[in-house]
Amino acid sequence: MNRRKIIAALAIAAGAALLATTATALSRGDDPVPTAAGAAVARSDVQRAISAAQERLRRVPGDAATWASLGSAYVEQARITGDPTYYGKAQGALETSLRHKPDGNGPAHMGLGALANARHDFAAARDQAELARAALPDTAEVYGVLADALTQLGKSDEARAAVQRMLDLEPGVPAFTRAAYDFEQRGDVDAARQALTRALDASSSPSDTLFCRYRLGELAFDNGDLDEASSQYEQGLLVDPLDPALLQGRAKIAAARGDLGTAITGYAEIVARVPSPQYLHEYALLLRASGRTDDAARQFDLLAQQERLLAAAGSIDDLAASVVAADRGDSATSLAAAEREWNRRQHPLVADALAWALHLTGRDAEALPFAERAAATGWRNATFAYHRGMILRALGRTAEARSALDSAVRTNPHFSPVDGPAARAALDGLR
Amino acid sequence: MRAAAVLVLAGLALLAAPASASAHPLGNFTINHHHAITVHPDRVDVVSVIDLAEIPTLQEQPARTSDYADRECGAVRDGLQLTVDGVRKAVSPRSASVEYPSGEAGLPTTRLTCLSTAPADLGSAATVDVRDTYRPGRVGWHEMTATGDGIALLDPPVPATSASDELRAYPDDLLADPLDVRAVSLRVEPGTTAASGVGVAQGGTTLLGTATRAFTDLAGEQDLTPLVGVLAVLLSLLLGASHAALPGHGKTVIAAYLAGRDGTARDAVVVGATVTLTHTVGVLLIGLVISASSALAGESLLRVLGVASGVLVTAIGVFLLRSALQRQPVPVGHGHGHGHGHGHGHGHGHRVGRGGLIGMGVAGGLVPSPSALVVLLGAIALGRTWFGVLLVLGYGIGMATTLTLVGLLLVRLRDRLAAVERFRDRFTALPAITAGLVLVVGLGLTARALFG
Repeated sequence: MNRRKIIAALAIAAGAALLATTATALSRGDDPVPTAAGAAVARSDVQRAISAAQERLRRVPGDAATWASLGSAYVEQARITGDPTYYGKAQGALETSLRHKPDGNGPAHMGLGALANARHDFAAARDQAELARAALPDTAEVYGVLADALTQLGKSDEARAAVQRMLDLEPGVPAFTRAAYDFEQRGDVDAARQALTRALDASSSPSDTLFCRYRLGELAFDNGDLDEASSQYEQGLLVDPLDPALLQGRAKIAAARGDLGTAITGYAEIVARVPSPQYLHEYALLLRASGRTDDAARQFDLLAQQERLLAAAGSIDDLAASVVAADRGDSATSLAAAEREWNRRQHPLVADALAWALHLTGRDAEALPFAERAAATGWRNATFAYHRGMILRALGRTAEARSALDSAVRTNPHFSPVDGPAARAALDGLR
Repeated sequence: MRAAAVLVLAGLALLAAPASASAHPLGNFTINHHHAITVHPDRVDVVSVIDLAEIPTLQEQPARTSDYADRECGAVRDGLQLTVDGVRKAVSPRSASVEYPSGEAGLPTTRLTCLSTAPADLGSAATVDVRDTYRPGRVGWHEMTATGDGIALLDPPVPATSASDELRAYPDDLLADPLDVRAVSLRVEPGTTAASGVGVAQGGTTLLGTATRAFTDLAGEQDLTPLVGVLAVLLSLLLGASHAALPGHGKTVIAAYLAGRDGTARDAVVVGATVTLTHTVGVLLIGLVISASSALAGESLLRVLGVASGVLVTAIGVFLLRSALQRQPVPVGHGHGHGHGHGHGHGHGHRVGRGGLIGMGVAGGLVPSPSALVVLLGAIALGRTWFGVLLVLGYGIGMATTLTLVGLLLVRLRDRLAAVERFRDRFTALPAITAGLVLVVGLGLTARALFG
């Protein structure tokens, strides 16, 4: 009897405790969690992925997969924001991932491949991408990294196979834009435009949309369609009025339409914010075209200093160095840089740079095969045609020179503010 | 166009991270800002340090401009928006200086230091907002620190000391983004520097909310010591018990069922055990399925289960009602009349069928509890599946305890009432009433799951 009473008492006590819990729960209700002071503003997908990965790694520091995805996200963030600190962080994160999982770590190799591509070390990027492919044979992103490396190395057939595999695995923005670049290099402009349009339709984030708009604008501009290019750039600027690439497009259109003043102002603003070598180079050419040779010379000096900084940091871009040196008039440096780059990779752009450098040093007979090699893929590129035309003219083959220069001017009459007028003058001279 | 084709290459070349460590850590073309805010009772002082890397220094050639420091500090001050309680205060100059530490490849960098002050009356509690709009489009480190001199800062969102030693040594933390703090809102009041402000209570303030958060935090503990493990399991028992006390899990139905029929203590135990088993198995199944395939949407699944549960209860209600109405003509002697033998479940009239009990149990445990699901999924994600399963089991046992207790209490209560002669006659209609109640509840559950 006593035991039963004790049990009963316990049961009643437990029931009372539960009743109290229930009563409190029902009476107070659940307050929503207040947001932290300084709540996060709207963030892009990449930023959210980075924050989530960082949070997780603080709690579980040995998670190799999350280190790898953090590294890849840092590489992407560097591209989107233009902030170079992220490359160092990406390197650190990816190396940490490999330390925790040295074998079969597909995501880490993929991230290292993307990083190597961004640093222009395309041979290393290809090696990393192959390691990643061995571990992850059915992941589209791996083929993207591989395709980029192979394209830049000049191996277009292998690159095409990689892009095709990427399309088969995951038809999305990264795959379509790479397919578009491949079509463009082969000279199939319509297919390139279709691919980019499909990419635009598949874009889900603002940075994707901006990238597609810029590529569509570039494709139209490179084929002489100023109105279409302008429309694409302006639509992109509606999404982000401060995007440097689209602002550069707008300035380029202004220059092509003859309004050099607006173009120079536009470029000055861009260069004050994002002094990348490409923008500085184009700014310098514009200044030269409008007769401000001293200002142009200053920008070229700045470019030279930038190259020194990059060389000191171990980052090599001999293709850009060759092109800039040629425009500056330094043919010896241009030739040396172009030959070094040609030994590394046999891409059409490098062939064209080498051909032009040889032409500037007076070796036109050697230059011609390289100029033809550049055009071999079928790329409808006004600059290639211009260079080939000038080389043929120097060799005395007038008819072919005329047809090449004509093709340059017809493909894109505004391909360069300095070389465009030179091409037209040469064409007139040959008639 | 060729230059454009070189876009991807040249543009990215600049962004390439240095292979060696001697490059300007944040890239050669960054402009970096640091503002040290000191709040006094009569003014707010701001020491602004602007660090221009090699390329901006080359672009702007500050060494060639004679009054560069004054002019540029003027621009910095114009970009500095300081408000006290929403009222904009004028920022006046105190001093400006510039120096050129050497950077990479023999190129100079620029280090601009500006002292500015804004008079303000901070004799009482106020809010000081500082925003930096100087050169917003340029990539770079943006940092702010805040201290009080004779003024207490309540829970300041920025630290008191610089993480980068005022832009001299940038930290290289792989798990932190480059700082981008361009605005700060400080709550100040007179007094000594407070160690920490009032902590804002996070999350639900109910006992249950706190316990649930503690539970989910324990499951994710980094160091799973035995003490933590035992604590977590105990907590899961308590939580399961209190969860079962909340509305849901068919307690009404079970109570009605047991009260209306000749339910015994053993039946209560059976029902409790069935609920637990169903719930635990349900959570484990769903947890494993969700972690294996993310295609399964949690919300719609819970809805489907809710409907299934409601339908099951309705079906049982129909069955009960039918059997209750069929038995109406049975004489009053059903179920009672045997003083002490009553209530111990031997073949009087129609006892609760085993199938019915199990059906109730399944219906009660069919809809899994979200917190148990979350704990399981979290444990799986952390690689501690066994621990998650253990916690879910503990949760289920806690639920079983409550439900069995409820059932037992009701059985007891009904027995006591039945022993009282006065109520005996009232009990004839009880099975029909309770069956009807079960039916109504079942319909309600189904409707809520479908349209809720």
